[in-house]
Amino acid sequence: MFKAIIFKEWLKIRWTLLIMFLLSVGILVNIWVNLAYGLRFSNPSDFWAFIIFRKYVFFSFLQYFPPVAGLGLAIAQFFPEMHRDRLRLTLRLPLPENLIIFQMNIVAILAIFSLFLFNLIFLLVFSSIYFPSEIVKNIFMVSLPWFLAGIATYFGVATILVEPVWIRRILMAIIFYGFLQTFFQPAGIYSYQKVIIFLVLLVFVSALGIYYAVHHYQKGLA
Amino acid sequence: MENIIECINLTHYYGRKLIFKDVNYQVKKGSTFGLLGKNGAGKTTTINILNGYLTPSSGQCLIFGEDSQHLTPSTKSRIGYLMEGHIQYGFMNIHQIEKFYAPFYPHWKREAYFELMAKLNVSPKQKISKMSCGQRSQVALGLVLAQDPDLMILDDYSMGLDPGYRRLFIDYLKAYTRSEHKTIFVTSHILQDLEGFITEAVILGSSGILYYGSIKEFMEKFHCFKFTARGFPTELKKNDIIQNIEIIREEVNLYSFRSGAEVQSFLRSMGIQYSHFREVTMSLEEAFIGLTGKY
Amino acid sequence: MLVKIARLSLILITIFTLAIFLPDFYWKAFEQQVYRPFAQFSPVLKDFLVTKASKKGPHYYDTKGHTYTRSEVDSLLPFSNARQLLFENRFPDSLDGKKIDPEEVRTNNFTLRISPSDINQYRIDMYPLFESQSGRVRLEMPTSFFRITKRMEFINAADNKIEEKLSSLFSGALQNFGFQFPAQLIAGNPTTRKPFDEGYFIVDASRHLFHLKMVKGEPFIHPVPIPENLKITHLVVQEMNLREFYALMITDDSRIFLLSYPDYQLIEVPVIDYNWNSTDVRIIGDLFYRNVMCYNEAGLSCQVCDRNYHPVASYQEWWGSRYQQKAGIISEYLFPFSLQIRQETTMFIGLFLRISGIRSLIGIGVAVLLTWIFLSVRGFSVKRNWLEFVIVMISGIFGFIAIILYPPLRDKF
Repeated sequence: MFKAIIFKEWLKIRWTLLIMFLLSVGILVNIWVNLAYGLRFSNPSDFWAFIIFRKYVFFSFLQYFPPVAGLGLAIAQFFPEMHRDRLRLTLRLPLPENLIIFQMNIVAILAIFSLFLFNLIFLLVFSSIYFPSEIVKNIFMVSLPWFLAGIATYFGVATILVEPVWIRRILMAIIFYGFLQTFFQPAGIYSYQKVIIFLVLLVFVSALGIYYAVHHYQKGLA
Repeated sequence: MENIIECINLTHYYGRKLIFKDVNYQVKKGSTFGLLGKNGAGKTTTINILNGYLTPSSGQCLIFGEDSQHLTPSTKSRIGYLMEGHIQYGFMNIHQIEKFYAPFYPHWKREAYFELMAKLNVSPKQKISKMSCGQRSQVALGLVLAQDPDLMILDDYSMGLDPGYRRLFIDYLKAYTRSEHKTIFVTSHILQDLEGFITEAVILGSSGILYYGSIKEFMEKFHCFKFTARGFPTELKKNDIIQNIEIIREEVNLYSFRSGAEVQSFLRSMGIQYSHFREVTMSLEEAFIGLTGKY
Repeated sequence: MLVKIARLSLILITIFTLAIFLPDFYWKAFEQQVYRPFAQFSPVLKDFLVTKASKKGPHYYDTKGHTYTRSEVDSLLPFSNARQLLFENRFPDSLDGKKIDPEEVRTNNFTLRISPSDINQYRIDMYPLFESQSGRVRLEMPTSFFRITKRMEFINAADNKIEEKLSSLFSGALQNFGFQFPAQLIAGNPTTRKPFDEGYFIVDASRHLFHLKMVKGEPFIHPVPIPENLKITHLVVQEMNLREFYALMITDDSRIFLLSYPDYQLIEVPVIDYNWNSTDVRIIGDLFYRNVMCYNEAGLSCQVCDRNYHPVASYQEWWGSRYQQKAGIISEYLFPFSLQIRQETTMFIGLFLRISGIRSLIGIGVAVLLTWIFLSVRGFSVKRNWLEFVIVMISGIFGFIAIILYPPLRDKF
């Protein structure tokens, strides 16, 4: 039965996933080309100094991608369910309702996780062509909060889509936007080394909200 | 005889507005049960409570002995639903949707589904969202039949369907009910189709249950009497003898559960002069309108 | 059960977000600017001349309360305002019986500023080693950056490959001086915009300090003896034509030392109220004095000493913390605590919690009352929903907003 749910979710998200994949490749290739260009047409030492001492983040454009991916996948997955109350069909399947939602989330998270892992590896691999491990390690630490934010975005948007009451949706969206700012302090200037575990915990906490929204959806109560 | 569905002291308010209060009825195994009533009488509310999508203000509904708000997965697999508007996953085609549902139901009957699909004039890759209303209803019907559920709950299966599709539904459902173990719970506006199909019914009005029992008895016990009254008998209103009354100038249609003799003696006691007193046979639809009123 | 946990997680996220944004927004709306004074010791007055901005413009005063005009200040602080005085032909020939030359004044002026955030930050430990005696006037950016891990490696910036010759040369030289790899702290001035280069000061794995330079392509290494009890937290290298000290050193116990020319003598800088974790220190040096200004959250402590670092005088001025402003007092009523993820003293993102004082109990009381009203009006049993009150008692208005947004689960009527 989990296989059937994987099948259904895959049907919904496959094209969005492909688009996100291509988008991320486009962004990363663009960053790569610009990086190589920058190194070729300037003094490489000056470029390294710019990165090390002036905290220049050559890949800062990438930060927009994970939240967009999380948003897109949540919409691809839940918008068809919310349209004309199809979520009721899903919740009527002979499984515990929370398990159904959990399985739906798992499918999307596996997809997002694979996508982000691919992005991260791609970024780190081409960076290590040009930079030593000290700089590559920093690239990892700078980009990690963005990917975590992308996962949190998926959960937040899914929760907001399932929640039936409009006022609550809007307020949730506002608060969630504020919540995401935690992950997006000016890149490179502020370091997240000390709070990464906490950010991971926050992502796990954000994964739970959807069960409250589903409860509301099911019971027809405000 | 086992009660498949039981509604116990069901009461619901939307805000301050009372929908129904202390409603009680049971659906027995093997019956084809109709939930009838005008719009706003509480049919959709009841269906939502049965489906677990609404928590009643008080009271409860039991399905297979379990509270409808907390059905176990194994019980859910015994219930087949047809949602209003024949809602299904629009992004799948007919093969994908069968492939999706099959693993969930232990007695899945592929042949039942594909037999129906063969009659559909759709290409195999066509998405359900791109089908016509009638075609979608056929898909929904096929899926429910393939599930082979012990209880089928159909919420307004006829909405948006041409007469042809409505007939198709009834034919298939009738064939389905020939097995003694199957129970059907259906709501519909269009009573012509239900005539000859449903065996029992609850008829809801604004004040609660107007009738609860077998259709056969209903048709036997509920009468429509026509007569011509002299003068304008404005004093004739609903009471415990008169279920409903329509007065057009001097022509009166009187609906009652009482016999013709009782009604006539009542009229005489009211001092109403009448003539051409006769009983009129009604179809189920006419009886329904007679009971619930035209407006 | 899961639904209850889900609700609590939504409430947690809401309280977390509100605790960051509401106080932040509140301060942005209501905080009044506090002007910090700047104190320099005047060789003319033999007293501190304090500059403080205000809405009406800067005003200048001494410790006895006399005020001065801008033009008077120029003469009272001739070392800082040499250019202006020369321009107006008011530059003094001598002070305190000593002849003073504008060129000498210029050479002797310097400013050193160290904030806690300079120390509390993540460092990519790769640095350019300049050729300190190339024969050219201007310093040139080298082709490689070095790191000191298991050995000292130079990595070419153009091809990201190790320059093996240079690496072996320097690694060997360090080993010869007993350097224990890896380095714990590397401090230098990695810019070409300086008059000359003094290389790097490096603390090795056994806490010994070394001075490292490249002279005509060869390694120059000098161990710098430091007393065992001093634990180096931070080093600042700033090359100046003055050539008084190589570097400034801050120890774990918040003492400040200079490593002086030529033999790395440790000179302690007298300082008042300095804590490297929270104090912004500014050292203004001129021909006669060393002004050491320590800015803390609520005040300035200034210690001035002579050129031999003997204390001469000190000055302190306090201003209220922002919680003593009217807006601050009200904020204590409103918010039982506030959260920040950034703080001025560090470049690391963290969780900085500030719990308000007793006044917040009033705000919490109001929030509890509002919660009680909300629950009653909505038909919730107050007894069964005791958890809501616990939440609001801890988080005040934040919790109240969260509870309105995510009401408790209905018990069956």
